[in-house]
Amino acid sequence: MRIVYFLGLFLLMGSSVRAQVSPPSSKPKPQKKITQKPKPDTVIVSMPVKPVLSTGVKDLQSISLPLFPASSLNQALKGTAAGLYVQEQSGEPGVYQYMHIRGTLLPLFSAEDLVRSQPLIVIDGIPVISNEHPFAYDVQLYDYSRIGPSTNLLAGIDLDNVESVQLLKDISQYAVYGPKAANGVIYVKTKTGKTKKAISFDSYFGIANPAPVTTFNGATENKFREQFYNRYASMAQMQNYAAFLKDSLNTVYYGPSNWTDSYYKKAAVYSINASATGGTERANFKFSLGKVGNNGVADDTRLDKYAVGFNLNMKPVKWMTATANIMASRMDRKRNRYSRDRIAEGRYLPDLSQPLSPNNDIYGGMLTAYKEAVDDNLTNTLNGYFNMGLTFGKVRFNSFLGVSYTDGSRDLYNPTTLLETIAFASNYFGYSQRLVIDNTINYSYKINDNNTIDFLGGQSINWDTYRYNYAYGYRNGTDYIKVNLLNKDDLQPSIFTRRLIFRFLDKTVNNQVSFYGKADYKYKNWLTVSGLLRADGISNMQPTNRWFYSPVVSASWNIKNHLLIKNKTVTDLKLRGSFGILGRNELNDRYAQGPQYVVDFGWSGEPLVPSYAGTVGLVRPYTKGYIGYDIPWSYNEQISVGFDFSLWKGRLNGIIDLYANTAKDQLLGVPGLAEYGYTKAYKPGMDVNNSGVDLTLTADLLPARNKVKWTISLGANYNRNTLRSLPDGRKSIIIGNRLLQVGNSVDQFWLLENNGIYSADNEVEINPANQRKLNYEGVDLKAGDPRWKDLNGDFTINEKDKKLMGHMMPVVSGNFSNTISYKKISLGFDFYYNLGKNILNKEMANRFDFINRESSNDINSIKEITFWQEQGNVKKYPLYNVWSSVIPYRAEQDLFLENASFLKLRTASLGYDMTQLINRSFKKADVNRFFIYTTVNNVFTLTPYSGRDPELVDYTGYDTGYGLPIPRTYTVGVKMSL
Amino acid sequence: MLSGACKNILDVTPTRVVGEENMWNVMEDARAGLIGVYGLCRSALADNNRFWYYGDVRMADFDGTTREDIKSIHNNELNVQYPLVQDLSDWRRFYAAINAANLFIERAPEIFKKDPRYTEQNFNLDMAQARVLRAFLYFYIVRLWGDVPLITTSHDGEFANKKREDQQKVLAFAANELIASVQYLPYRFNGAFPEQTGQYYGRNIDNWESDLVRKHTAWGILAHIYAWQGNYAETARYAQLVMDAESNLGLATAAFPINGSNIRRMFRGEVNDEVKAVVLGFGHRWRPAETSFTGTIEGLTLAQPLVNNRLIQAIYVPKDTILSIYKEAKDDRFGIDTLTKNVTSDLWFTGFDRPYPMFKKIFAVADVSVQNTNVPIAYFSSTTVVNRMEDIALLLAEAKAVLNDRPGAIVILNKIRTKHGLPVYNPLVNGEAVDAVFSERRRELLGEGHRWYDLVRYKKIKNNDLEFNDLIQSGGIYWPINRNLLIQNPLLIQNTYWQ
Repeated sequence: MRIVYFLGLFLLMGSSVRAQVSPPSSKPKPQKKITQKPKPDTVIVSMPVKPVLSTGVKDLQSISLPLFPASSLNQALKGTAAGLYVQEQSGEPGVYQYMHIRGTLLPLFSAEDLVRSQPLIVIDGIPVISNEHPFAYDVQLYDYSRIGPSTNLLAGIDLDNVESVQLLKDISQYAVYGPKAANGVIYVKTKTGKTKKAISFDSYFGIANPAPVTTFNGATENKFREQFYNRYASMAQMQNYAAFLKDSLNTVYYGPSNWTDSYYKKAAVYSINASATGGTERANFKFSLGKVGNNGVADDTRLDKYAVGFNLNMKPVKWMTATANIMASRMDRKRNRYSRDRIAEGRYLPDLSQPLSPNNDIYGGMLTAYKEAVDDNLTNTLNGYFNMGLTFGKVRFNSFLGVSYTDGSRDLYNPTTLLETIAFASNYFGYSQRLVIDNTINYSYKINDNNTIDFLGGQSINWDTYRYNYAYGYRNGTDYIKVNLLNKDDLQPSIFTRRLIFRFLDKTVNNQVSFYGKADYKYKNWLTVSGLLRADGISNMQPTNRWFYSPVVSASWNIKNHLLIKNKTVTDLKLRGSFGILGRNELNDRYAQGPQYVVDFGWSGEPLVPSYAGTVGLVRPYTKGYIGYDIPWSYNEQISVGFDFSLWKGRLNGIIDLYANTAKDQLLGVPGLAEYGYTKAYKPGMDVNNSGVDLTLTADLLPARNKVKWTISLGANYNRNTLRSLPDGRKSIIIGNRLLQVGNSVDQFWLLENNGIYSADNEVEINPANQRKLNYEGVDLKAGDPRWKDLNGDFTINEKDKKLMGHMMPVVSGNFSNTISYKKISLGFDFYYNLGKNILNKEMANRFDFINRESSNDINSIKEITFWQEQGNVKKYPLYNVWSSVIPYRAEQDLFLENASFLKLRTASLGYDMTQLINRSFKKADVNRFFIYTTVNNVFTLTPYSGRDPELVDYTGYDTGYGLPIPRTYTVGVKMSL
Repeated sequence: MLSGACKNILDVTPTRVVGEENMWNVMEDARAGLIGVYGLCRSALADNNRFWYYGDVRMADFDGTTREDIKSIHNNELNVQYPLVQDLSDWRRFYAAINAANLFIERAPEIFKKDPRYTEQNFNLDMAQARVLRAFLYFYIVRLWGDVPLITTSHDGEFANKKREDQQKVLAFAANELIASVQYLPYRFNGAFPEQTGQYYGRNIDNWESDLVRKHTAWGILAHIYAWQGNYAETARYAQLVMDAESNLGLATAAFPINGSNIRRMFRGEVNDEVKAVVLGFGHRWRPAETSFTGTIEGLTLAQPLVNNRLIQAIYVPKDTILSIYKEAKDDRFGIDTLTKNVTSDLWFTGFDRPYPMFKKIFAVADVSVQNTNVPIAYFSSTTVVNRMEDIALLLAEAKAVLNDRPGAIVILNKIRTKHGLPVYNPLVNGEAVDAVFSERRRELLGEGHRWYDLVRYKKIKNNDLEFNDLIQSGGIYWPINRNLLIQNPLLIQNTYWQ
């Protein structure tokens, strides 16, 4: 109802303004593009794109997507632009992937934090939903993967339909998109309709190859363990020798380790996309269809995507333009078969003392159990808008209605053979929906020839709704009925017993209302000054602090046009600067309530018991943490300076951006209040700063006359993350295994320093004060224990002896590419690198800590089939007493920290443009473009890291051994337009 | 209009949480709040199965099979680095329940003022339950950590770090609270007692009453508090009150004391006589799906072939210990013929011939018939029984023995012994009355979270074990305080023994 008011009001205002304005002449402000000049047949009709602040920024540079058989936007963008870091923690097609623009503005402790640090993806003006809402993690015991299909929504974008991608890193660029954009914006522009009748066809086909691996069997593992047993084990400990290794004649573990035959496979990847355009200057369209198949090389994974897009542009009268655009996709994902993920969802812990057999006969037999299994993961995405522009002289109205909708479902059935004799089933259906109304009025005022001002006023409303239904259940016995936990008609349990079915419904809403105004002042052709002021209200903030006002100013001075017009060397030189503040969006509706009551009286391992004595109770969120009143908005405060230069007629181009961006007054869960029952209290006051520089250099190495052209381009981002302040003026806070310390980065590891081993009891240092031995929080160190450095010299090893070191995210990251072309042939090499990144080799720590991990029989005791794969060098670690109660092989020590910098040749490509050749050869041919190419992807990686591919780590910086390998892929492809 | 519209869009009432202003208004809120306190009590005891690690593993009859962390607890090495032991030294979950009780006690009066349906009787009854639970929690953590911070209001929004309070003061507070609350509590929730008439919250509650606090619950806790303090006169007084309540509980004389085989029905929480013997217990009920994989003792004690998901159980009673506890052949709980070495009764232990005999006294696994199988899903529903009639009876016997009423003690002892098929007490076989009472407690209450506390009381009474005396003197009978708590609250000081 209220929405109608808004529209009506705006239209009313529109008509009244119309009367005053005279000749219709102004045209929409085009986005500057570097890649392609608009061809004459392109009619830019309605522009839903919000103009970014036109100054203070390098005119936005489009990222050209590489010839990479990417299954998602994230993958396509990796290593293409300075300041964008894409984490690909698994090579499994379609899994979640995360991106960070210029580092993270908050410490990442959980999957939820990760979503909170993600940039906003804007497609043709629609701020799309690019992550499934993390609130579903609330009902999960572990957050390894979100319930539901947990498919990367950005894999739903039809990459062949993308015309350009722009990275909005600076506050002056992204502030127009409001609080949701506070982590930066990735702007995707799709291809639009054209008047020319044309049919395009893009396709590639390729093969992904698994890398060779070294496997081992029980004999190797037995030999590995014997060292510890021979040196340290007591009789009782000898008797508890791992049952699966006891019998060396047992072929299940001592047979050939050839499981890889079933696990790794060559896999096909392909993409077919066709599109048609046509129409007139008054109305034209584009229609596209695409199918992408992406098979993973490991564990029979796969992603199938179907995408369809339709774009319709109309200009019924001269002063009115209208555009309708719909992009939809459907993704079907075949997921990995990790035991951990299966058990994590089912919660039921089977006996884990027997790992999977490395013997393919047996492992393969286990895989046949999956024939009885069901695991359907379907994700639909739909992004669309209707945009109407009205131009009356210098006044232009734009009304934009956008929708971003995704839904996902997962039907899971694990047969009785997979989990002892218990069948597990779960059903999930969830959707996310965003409705956007955005109205702007634009007015250009030319004071005189030298001075012009553009005004923009706007108002927008976003309605976000996230919802899911989820149920899971157990059953003993047969595999006859597989899914459908609940009858469709009455939602009552069907075949599974009522008491072993657990149901969850959840919904969260986040609405946003914004008003903004912007002015761009231009003096001659060398100075522009812009200002933006916006007011944002979101429902996830407390009523007393609902609104936030964000100002942004920026200026740009074109030195070339002002002072160096005649200079021959300098083709272009510009100095820019900006300063601004922008409120940060809050994803979670809990904080809006202040003190609150929830159903939260589960316990470790069983977090979701809803009732006591059959009655539902409500308690404070003791596990989640206390939330008080007067929670303020957190906001970004950013200052930046940049240069753009172009020398020697454009043979050398460069962009340098220096930035300092601080996210202030962020909420942090501060551990404490245990005597009041809470794990932590959420308090504002955390300030995190990212300062650094982005550098992009492009150079043509050979003279323009030369037939061979060689262009190199280097992108680099150096980012330094600093924690500036903590709540309550504290200097440091311990959260789990991490320490946040003011003055240090939020992505550092907090570890003990390891100096070797005590080979005898008398080697342990003795405190001269009380003759007490060096101890670990009261437990004396003994022979076989690690020599941990007692940093504070108090003869007790504890958290005071841990040191912040390393970085989970790279300090320097970027790309280096070479393009060599001769006539119509082009050869490209794209490198991607990360420097100053560390990995904690948890997988190695796990292998050594086998005693504790196996006996606990919890989720950490699970061994995947990849346990039988040789990774890293076990010989370089000391042999500690694995039974020692100080836990010698704890992961949190620098023994397992490694430098994980790397350089990767991501793509080598060879292309041949056959357009002329074809047009010459066939008289009737009228080919716009005919380009064939071949690529090799992920050719090699150079790294000092001893474990796997250094990309395969998640946000914690721990290499857990999870994540499927990123394969080397060979493709051939064609891009043609008729 | 515009601002009104904005407000309308931005004022979203969440469906995920209940805000403060919507919580303490009507009588249903009181029920939700009170049930919350119960739920948190259950969660505090169930978390990491700590009820049993504290009571039955630490220097007690159960030991770890393969896990080093459990063996450390058994050996009273509580400053080791294992996550389990670290977790058990954290008292937060107890304070969560205490905080919920404090909040309830502060805020329920608002409901009483606002909602006329919330009768004075109902209000008083709810308040009394919250106060009893809070007193129980304080007693429980005093036994574990000694001096603990005593916090009796919610301090909502103005949390301040608190020092540890002298344990005698905390126990005095708990005792006073219990004494003050008794008058509002009924013997049963069947509407037949003046403290609770009609239906309780519109429900036929007597199916669930063993999950709730009743009159004798408060007395039972009082008896234990005084016993812990060595004040056996008061122990005898309150334990006697519990015994005298027997006739009011609907507990058939035939059913009490419970014999070795019927005990499982009590833990199962089925509607029967045995469940009425529960004095204080926290249910994990099967029907409303409060069952779980962890949080009940079965998750620790069972393995194949009784359940599938463990090859070897986590804890077990070593054979030597079993033989030293159950020495008499005719015991229906567990008996072994000393000559033939044949097991004459294996009700409470199975697989005596295997390296790790399995404790199956408590075995409330989800309904087998519904599960269509012989080996059920390891989803358990046994009630965590903190106190029951036999426990209080033996506590009374203990008090009588200490107070030199030896015949009185022996009467109680024999009542229980005969129920288990044992001959009457014989000082030549069973030793001194005090020893016999403690031996009987050990036999009867095995796996019910009592042994460690019984041991401390026993050693204090006997005062003949130098090593243990030393442990008592130096505070080694307490748990260390989790290091994170010490870092977060600088006013806390570690127990000296663990420094």
